[in-house]
Amino acid sequence: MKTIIANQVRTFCALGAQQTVAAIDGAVPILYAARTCTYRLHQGMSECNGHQGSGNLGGSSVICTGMHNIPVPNNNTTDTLINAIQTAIKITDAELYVVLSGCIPELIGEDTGAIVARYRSQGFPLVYAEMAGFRGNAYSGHEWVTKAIVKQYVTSPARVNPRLVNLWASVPYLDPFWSGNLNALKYLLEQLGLQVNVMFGVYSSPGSWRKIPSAAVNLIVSSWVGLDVAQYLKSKFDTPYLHYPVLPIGAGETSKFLRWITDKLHLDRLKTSVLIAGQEKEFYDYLKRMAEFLVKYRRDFPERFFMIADSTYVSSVSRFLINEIGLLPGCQYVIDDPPKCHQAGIIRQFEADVGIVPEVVFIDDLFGIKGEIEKKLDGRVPLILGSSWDADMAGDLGGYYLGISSPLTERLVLNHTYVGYDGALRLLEDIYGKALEQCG
Amino acid sequence: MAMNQLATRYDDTLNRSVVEIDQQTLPSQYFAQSRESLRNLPYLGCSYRASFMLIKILATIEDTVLISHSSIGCDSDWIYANQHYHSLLRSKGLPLRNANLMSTNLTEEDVIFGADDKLEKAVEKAMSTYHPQAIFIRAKCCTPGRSPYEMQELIEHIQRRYSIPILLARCDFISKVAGEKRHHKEDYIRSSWGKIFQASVPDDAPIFNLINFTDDDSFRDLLKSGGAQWNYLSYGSPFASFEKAAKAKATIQYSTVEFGEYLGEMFRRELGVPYCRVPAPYGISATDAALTVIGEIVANEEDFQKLIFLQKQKYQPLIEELRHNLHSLRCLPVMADFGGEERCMLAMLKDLGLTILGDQREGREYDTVLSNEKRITTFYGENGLHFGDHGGYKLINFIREEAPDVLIVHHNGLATWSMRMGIPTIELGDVRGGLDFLGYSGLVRLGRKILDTVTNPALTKQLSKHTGIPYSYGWMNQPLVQEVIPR
Repeated sequence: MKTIIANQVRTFCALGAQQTVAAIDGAVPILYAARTCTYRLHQGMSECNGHQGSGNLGGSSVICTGMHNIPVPNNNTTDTLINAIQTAIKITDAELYVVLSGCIPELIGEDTGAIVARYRSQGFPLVYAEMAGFRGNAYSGHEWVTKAIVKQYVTSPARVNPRLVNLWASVPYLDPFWSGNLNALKYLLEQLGLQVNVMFGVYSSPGSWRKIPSAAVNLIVSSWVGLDVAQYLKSKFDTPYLHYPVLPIGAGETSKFLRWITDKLHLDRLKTSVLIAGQEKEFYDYLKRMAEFLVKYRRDFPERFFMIADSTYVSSVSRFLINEIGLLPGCQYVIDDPPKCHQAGIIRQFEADVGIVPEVVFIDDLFGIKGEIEKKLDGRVPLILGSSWDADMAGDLGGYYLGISSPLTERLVLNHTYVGYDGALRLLEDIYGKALEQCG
Repeated sequence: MAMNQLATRYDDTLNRSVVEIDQQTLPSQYFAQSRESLRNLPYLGCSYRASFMLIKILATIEDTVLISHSSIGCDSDWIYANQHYHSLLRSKGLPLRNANLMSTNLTEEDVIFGADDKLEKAVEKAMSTYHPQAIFIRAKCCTPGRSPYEMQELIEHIQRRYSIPILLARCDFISKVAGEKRHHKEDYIRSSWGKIFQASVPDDAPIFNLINFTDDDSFRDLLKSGGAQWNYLSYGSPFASFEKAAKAKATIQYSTVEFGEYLGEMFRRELGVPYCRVPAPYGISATDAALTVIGEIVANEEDFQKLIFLQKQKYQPLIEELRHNLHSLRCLPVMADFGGEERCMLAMLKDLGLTILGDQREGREYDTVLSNEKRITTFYGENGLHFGDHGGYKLINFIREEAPDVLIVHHNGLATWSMRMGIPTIELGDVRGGLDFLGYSGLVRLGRKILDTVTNPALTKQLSKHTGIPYSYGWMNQPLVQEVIPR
């Protein structure tokens, strides 16, 4: 995808990885960057994205060198980083410090790694990652910082626990539902008798990261984010990985996911079947109730759905709405700029097991998509599943909008999730709740 | 000031008297003396929220486009600015639409090989998409290979193709890299921003520019009854209002937001429009003073005195009731003081009868490492406590020790921690966005907010029981600020 002019911020920059660190309970990010960079990224990725809060010493409490306040380049530049590291060590009791350098250190050729290495050699748990914003978006930044922590912090080999699974799924903060997604996936896997090690959110800690080599398998539930780390872990600790490219949303996909895991990890099939039967009974009972509501002809209800979100959400949600609810797709816009090597795989996901294959476009410049959607609608009522930037477009097109992607200014998100059996029901409540709000 | 210093005339089109005013006859004591330069106006910088405040303002000016020449991550604050724009539209009952924002979305390749053509294309696209009356360009730290002068050259090169003004708001960091001298910067600002006002504006009835960059329009509404024509310059103002500013008889600024100061100063310097920063109307006496001064400037003292009387009649009983309910509360305000907000907040809290911790009147004395003085008698003003941006952690242990009944902060990190320590807290939003408690009604709103906050502190109590803060035990016991025995 050739990057040209973008008019809306959705994927931020690599330094957004500060939010990845803030999502590890007990880890402290140290920003070697301008304070404005760190605050505005917090603002975009957390405050205006479900109002998720500051996390662990993020937001305006982040420890930052504040590079714009000093004349650079000179020796003082390096001193500010040393001061920041020393301050962080003094005022916090963290088990892990992650130094992230932004555009300015990279432009002036700072050797951040050398400074961090000096402290690490003294026994301080410091990690560093170069995160110049112009080098990539926040999805890439998350991937890079995760790999950096794994490389520099997760070092000791350990005895493998055959029941332990490392779970890698949503990108913290950037996906406003990341916390709920991880909890829901963890719960599902635990129902199968597995022990789940999560690296981000309420159940995380630097200890979870140290436990990574003990796992029997790394499970990636995402279209492409996390694959690089999984491959690295395979080469470093010889831990195999499993890749499930969509979030399991709805009974069909969730049951399929549970059976797939059961087969791959040679778990008890009977136990899985019993679990699935119970969950499906409940799910379809509610779906029956909803069917009575949906079967009525309403000329003002959505007739085509369009998604503007990252590849994982676009493939997961569209699969559920097409395969299980019978909605008809319009064009699906993928905004996370997946690496070229993964794009064909993402397209294949749409083609595999989906009743109706939607048109999929990889895009970062959203100028003109309103006109495109209008043309495709041909007078029908649209449902736009996107970000706050898309609310006005939905209004102009006489349709409905539900925010499911960053940025999300109009929603407070705590542990909301669309994953699993219950999550799918929440999605339906949210979509048709919006429609009912507007047309009663 | 004597009334006869201002001439009034009868305007047929308006069917009422209007004020004839010029700089010579204005009450000089109210107007800013000639400033040495614009050097200390921080809105040209890129510090903390300053850059953001500028964007929040520029993004909402109707009929303009804001282009960011930067990596897309630098534009993360657009989302907040756009949310603010949405709330403006809602308040005006207008349909929802996004602010006109564009980015050149610089990549690593652009940083290495340059991206001048990208900016040109962005301007071209902005012109064809939005048909704006002006374009603002924000250049950021990673703008490839261009010093501020070169950036201005590029913009002048692009400007040749268009008749509308293309204006640069740039990151201070660049100038520091280039070793730019301050006076050059000033000239550069003048040459670029002054272009707005070269537009030909038809003669109109005498108007007064009224600048307020807070989200509180109540004081503006109050002034409507004052019998003058106002050209209101605030969030969401149309670009035409800024053009019209050139023809104003005077500029009055009453918010504490520095961008307002910058505009007022610029109107004075560039256009000779007299500029008056009236007392910011926070608290009773400042509101009285602001209305009195504005009444004098528009030569309508009688109406304004009447306005003061009516407002007091309406709000005084409410304020008295609040004083009765709040008088026993110990309050600790922790304010960012970019435009005098600290003084304003102290005045309001005193009007509401709260006990202000660390106020000189308490007669206590503190030993601190956060001040040049070893001992201080007040936390406020020049001789008080100063801990800088992102320095909230320096006050955490002291706040826990003091345990105020209510904490008022202009720093959201601090608010997060104080809540978790069980202290009822009010966070006042944008650090550089002024205070939304203007006039008598604002004072009542603040009082009610404080009362509501302390009436049911259930959330803070629950948080303090079940959550902690990430600072170490050692740090929490550092004696950064300690009360000592009074002399």
